[in-house]
Amino acid sequence: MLKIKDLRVSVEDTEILKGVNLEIKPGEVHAIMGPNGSGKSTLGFVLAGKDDYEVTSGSVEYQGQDLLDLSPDERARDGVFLGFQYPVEIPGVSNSNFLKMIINSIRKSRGQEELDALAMLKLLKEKLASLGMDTNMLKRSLNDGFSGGEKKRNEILQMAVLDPKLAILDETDSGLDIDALKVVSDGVNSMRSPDRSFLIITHYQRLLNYIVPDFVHVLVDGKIVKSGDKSLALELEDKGYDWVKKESSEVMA
Amino acid sequence: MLPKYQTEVPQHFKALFDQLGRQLNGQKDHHFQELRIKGGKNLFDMGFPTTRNEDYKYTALGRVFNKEYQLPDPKQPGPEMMEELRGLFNSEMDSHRICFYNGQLVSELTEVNEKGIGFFRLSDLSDEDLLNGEVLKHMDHTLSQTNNPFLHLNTALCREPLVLVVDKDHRASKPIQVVYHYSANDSDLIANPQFFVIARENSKFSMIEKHTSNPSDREVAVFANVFQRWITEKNANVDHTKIQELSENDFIIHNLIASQEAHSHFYALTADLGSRITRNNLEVHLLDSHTQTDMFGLFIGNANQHIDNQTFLDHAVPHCESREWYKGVLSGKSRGVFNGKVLVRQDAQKTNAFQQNNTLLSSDHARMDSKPQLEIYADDVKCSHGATIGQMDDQILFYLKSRGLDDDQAGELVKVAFLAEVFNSMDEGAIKNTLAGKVLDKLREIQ
Ligand SMILES: Nc1ncnc2c1ncn2[C@@H]1O[C@H](COP(=O)(O)OP(=O)(O)OP(=O)(O)O)[C@@H](O)[C@H]1O
Ligand SMILES: [Mg+2]
Repeated sequence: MLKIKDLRVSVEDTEILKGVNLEIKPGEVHAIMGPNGSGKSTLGFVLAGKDDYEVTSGSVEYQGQDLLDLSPDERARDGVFLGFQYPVEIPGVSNSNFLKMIINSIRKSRGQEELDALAMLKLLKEKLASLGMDTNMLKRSLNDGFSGGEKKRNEILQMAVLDPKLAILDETDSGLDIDALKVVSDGVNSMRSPDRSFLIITHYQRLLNYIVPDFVHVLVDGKIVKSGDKSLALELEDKGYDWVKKESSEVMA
Repeated sequence: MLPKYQTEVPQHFKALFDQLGRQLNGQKDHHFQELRIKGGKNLFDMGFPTTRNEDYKYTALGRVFNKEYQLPDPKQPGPEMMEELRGLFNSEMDSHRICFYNGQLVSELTEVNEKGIGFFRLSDLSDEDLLNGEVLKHMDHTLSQTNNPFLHLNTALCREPLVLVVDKDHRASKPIQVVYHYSANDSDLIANPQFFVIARENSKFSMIEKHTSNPSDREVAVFANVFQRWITEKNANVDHTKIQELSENDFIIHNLIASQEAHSHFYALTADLGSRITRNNLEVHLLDSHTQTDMFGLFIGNANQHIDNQTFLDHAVPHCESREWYKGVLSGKSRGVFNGKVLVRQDAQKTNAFQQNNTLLSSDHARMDSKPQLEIYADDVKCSHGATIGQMDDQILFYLKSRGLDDDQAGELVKVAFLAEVFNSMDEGAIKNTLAGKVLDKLREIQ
């Protein structure tokens, strides 16, 4: 599905990702943890195609093609989804119009028929209900004045309607209360399938109790310094990042 | 050497004035002729403004005066043009219809038949008619007070002013659709429609006005110099939307002066999508308390378009409320100007005035000059004003594209969202839908 090789990325001459290697196979769920500023969001943005970042070396292969060659919208249409850590607010765009627009534009690009108003409403209502969201959310402007938790649920709603192949969720659990965390996790789990992969960025082991990952990686200072299974998250919770930092510098020394 | 129009009114405007005088010979006795002659004299004394005039600092009109304009043919249009004009009305809108071709009334396409709404040629009113006297008195007063030479130009070159009156307590059953179409073919054309609108006490109606011209595959230009005078009497409620879509070689100077009596509501929406040079002079005078004034504007420029909005709102009395909000998107090498003046006089206590201008520049070569001016001489008022000029937000564009929208779709969504407050100020219905459709078309065209 996704093969990242020795990826180095800079912003304004500062290197942020310093040689990331990661392979995600179809159906797998990978979690990335790591201290603030270590480059987790940067990795997500680079995979989604944000052009503030300069890829100085390395490669990213997605479904057999060079992902870095594609524009952000092409990536989205090819099934890459990024759930933003900080979703942007767009006053003046109604949430429902936005959802309709992205659904039909993605359907069109996949050679499917556009949905008519009735089918659209049905789909949206269904997805909203499954995420425990109020239909009032549709009438409001996109993310405008949404609470932190509402924004995150709205990201998951967009993921659900776009039906991606590779979903990157950047701290989708931050700001969620316990019930919302459960709802969002259920939403993700219901979408797990043998041909869909997830890359989940989080600070909290708790999320990984709900969405059980196949692999956990630790990103420190632009590099993956340790990988393991779900027990690694528990160990991190217990011992903190200093422990992996120390261990990795010992390995390097 | 200075361009000619900066030193004197070009000879051919005088020649046109004389020519019209000869054509109107038969109507010599009508009192409007006195006004017309006064207008001509005022114009020739006053001259046209140059960029040294603070109010025209960013709008050079040399290009406009640099032409050998002809007056429109007084004949009614031929059958082919009739068909074309008929097609310019939005037929899905149940409305009264008024049609101007090259600034002159087309009677065949004009249908205002509702008891309580009167529509007249000024020249059809007899000298003894009270309405005739009322209109002439107002016009004379307006012209003697103004320093806007285009009102004089309009009066000097206008063949027949039109008058619309909505009677006391009358609520119009449907909107009034006004089509102004212009067509220049072999020579440059100047059109000077003059329209006097009276909303009597406690009346209510809405009007949608559209300006279009023949396609731009021609060397010659249209210069539309429009003059409207609106009177909103006590407790009247009027709603006026203007959509301007002239072809890209044409010029329009749209002059609207409104006055409001107590408890009246005047809503004006000025939407400019077309033309080479647009200048709107919108003035509202508050004559009594408890009025509500809304001035909304929407402009979309591309290529070499130049759109200048000049507004003046005179809070002369206490307890009045006004909202003014102009929003625009400029691309290509287009330029916009906003010069909004709100005067809150010493007596105008408890005034509530809001003024805002926001512009989105979607190209590096577009330019906006914005000057919101709030002059306050009263102390117990609530007033705010401001202006922003910004570019498309890259974070927002990336967010939209990461959802699969391409550059054009994302850009369009951001622009439409940017204009939202203007649309939100409109009532739901055919007028709003018409404008929304045209705005979307224009945004798609300029991508
Ligand atoms: N566009 C940018 N311009 C300048 N610096 C940037 C930019 N994007 C990221 N950075 C810097 O890169 C580093 C990594 O940031 P990133 O957001 O990827 O960290 P993170 O691991 O997601 O942190 P957090 O856990 O706080 O979300 C930080 O030092 C950040 O300031
Ligand atoms: Mg982050």
